Amino acid sequence: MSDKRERLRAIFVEEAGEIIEDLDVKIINFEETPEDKDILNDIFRGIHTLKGSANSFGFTRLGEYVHHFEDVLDYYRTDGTEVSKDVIDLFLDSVDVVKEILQLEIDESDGFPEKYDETLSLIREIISNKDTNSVETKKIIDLGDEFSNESFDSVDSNIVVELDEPYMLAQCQNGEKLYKIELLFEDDSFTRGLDHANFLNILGQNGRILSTSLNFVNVPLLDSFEFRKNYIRNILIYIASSEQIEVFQDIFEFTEEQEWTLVEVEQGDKKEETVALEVETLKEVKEEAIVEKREKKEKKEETIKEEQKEEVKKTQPVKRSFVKIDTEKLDDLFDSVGELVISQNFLMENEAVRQLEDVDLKRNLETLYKITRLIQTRVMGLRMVPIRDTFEKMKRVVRDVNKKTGKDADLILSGEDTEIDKTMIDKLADPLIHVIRNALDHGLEADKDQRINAGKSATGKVHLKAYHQGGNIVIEVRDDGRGIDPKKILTKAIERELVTEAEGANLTDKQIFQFIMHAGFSTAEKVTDLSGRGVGLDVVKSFLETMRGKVEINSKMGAGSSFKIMLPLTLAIIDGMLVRTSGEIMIIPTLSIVESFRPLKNSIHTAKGEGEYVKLRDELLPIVRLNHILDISDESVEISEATLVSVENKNGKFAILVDELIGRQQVVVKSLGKALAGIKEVTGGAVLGNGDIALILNVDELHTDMV
Amino acid sequence: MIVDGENLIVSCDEAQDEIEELYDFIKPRLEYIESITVESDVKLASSLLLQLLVSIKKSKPSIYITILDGGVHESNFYGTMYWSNL
Repeated sequence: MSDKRERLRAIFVEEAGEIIEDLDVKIINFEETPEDKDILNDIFRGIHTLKGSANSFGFTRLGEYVHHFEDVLDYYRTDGTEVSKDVIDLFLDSVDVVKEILQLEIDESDGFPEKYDETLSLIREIISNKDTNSVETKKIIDLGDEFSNESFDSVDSNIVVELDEPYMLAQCQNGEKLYKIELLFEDDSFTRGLDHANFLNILGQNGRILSTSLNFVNVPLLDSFEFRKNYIRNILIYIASSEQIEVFQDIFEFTEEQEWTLVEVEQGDKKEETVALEVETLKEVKEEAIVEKREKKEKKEETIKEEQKEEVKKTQPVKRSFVKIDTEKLDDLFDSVGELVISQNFLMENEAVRQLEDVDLKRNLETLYKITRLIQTRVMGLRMVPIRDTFEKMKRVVRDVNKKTGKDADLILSGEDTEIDKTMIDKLADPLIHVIRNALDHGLEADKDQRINAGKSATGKVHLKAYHQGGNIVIEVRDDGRGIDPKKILTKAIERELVTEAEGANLTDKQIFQFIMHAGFSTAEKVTDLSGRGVGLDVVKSFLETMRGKVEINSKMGAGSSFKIMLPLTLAIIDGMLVRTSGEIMIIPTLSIVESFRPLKNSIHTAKGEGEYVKLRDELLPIVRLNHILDISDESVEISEATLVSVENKNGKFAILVDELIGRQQVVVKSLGKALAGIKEVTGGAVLGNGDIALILNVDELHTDMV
Repeated sequence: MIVDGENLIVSCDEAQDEIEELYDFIKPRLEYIESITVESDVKLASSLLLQLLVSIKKSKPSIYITILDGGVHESNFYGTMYWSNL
């Protein structure tokens, strides 16, 4: 494949993915507001665009399927027939099939999705209920028959096409029809994505190919052979099929009129009837039929264009334009701006610069500093996208789970405009799906009666909310179900030896709830295909580890549960507390910091073999000496003369002992080289204003024992 | 594509890029190749393969190409295959 075509293919795959991603949400939105036909038109336009592009790039399986999907959408948008719940199910299943076919096409794998036949047959059933203009179709068939014979004769080939049609008809079984198809592709067909083999294979899926005759009259010697130029002059195919002729016509929807002919071969001496007609008349009628077909196609295209114009008009008041940028380029830009900020900090902290007395120069430097920060903020903004699309996708999850479990739950969204780093959004969908499935499957009561008896509405409610809190993004999933039983979780945790009975007795409910994030942890008595195997929340845990986030679980028996996923605003910058220990500067992410304090002498306790502890109000926190853990030095400073930073990770709270707090700062995260990559207590590094390098601590790994 | 002495084995499911490799391979070596076995128990991935094989046959009529030299070819997927103007 040429580079250019490869690039175009990649663009198509990306755009197709974007179109398909939106379909679920649009279909669900249409189900909610069936009177809004604009949504249906929008879905139709997406599928129409997909169809055209798919066939151009040789994704013929996709092209064929979306063609049928488009037909059924067109039926409902033009006919005005009410779209039932079953039809919405069919639309959603069809979207799943489209997603899977696209993946198969990308992977260049054979086969078809599991629901391919089922959905296609339902679509055909709906379409077959439409009135069809059989007269027009018949005209094209009959004339196509004659025209094809004429064209074949005119090439004067000795191809074995004088096949015995009665013999072919005799091979048709159980009501099968016999079709004669001729492919007459142009020289450049391969570069246009038309390959005879693809069509032969699609034809084969719709019937039994009885014979295939290929004419190689134009094929040159190897010396003059130009690769990717089509030399096959024509191919004649006889196929027995129980499908209607429209099915075969549709296969050639994206080829030029002159590149194929299709005839239904009927019993009896049909040829004699047609031969009796004047050839000129035949041509005229054939042309008329083609014109009609073309006009119909043009009319359809025109309608779509008109609708697109209308759409443009509608959106005109908001004059915005967009440019697609590769996120890698954004990352490069961000890195460069990061370097700029660091250089700026060097400059501002330079002793000679600090002692400058020239007021104008100082003012200019201040302005430069402000502009640099502004650029950094704006570049950061480029990576931020509203969480809306990800939230909207969850509607489909709720609908599917409702269908499978027989429960009735509403998803209530809020804060959809909250912006989040693009890198995180791409990875957020899966964990969010697991949390929502969990809320629906395990969180909500098994049936309506239980809810009504508990004084709740019959319909369960799951709130999905996003908001900013203390420089972080919080995504909260809250249900009004039966709540999580901490005793049950603790029993299971003890059974699985995640904690001893003695340790468990001192744990708070919040700490106990954290056990459900462990791999394979499930208290579900019944494993469903939605949840209960204990793998779902493990996905959330892995996601949070990668994203430097954390989850807070709250629950009240009978009232419901909430999962608060807290994420940094971006992965590129971290808001950290700079601390000094044994002369080294370290950064503790502020997301993990609870508070910092100077301990009183009498609050410090040492347990032999168990380490050092500090009592803070009612809690006893283990003390972690950074210099020991990171092997910086062996010195042990007096705890009462040091500063303790109370932090919280998945195992609970503990206190990090540092010599000094330097201050809070936003730093650009740099990945560590291979040499430091193995240190699990450190997640990255940052270049400080004075040129020093500071390591960013991985709070999750600093203290791994259950507190 | 497998080279087995003077025999070349190709499969019907060769993709366009693989057929291009075959073309590049065979062009300078045509005189050394005596036969081409085409494995046809899989679907044809591209008709480029057929026209290339025909071009090879036209350039060196003595070469034996399994699916072309048998007169007609019975395919599980495409019925009886007839070739003309070889």
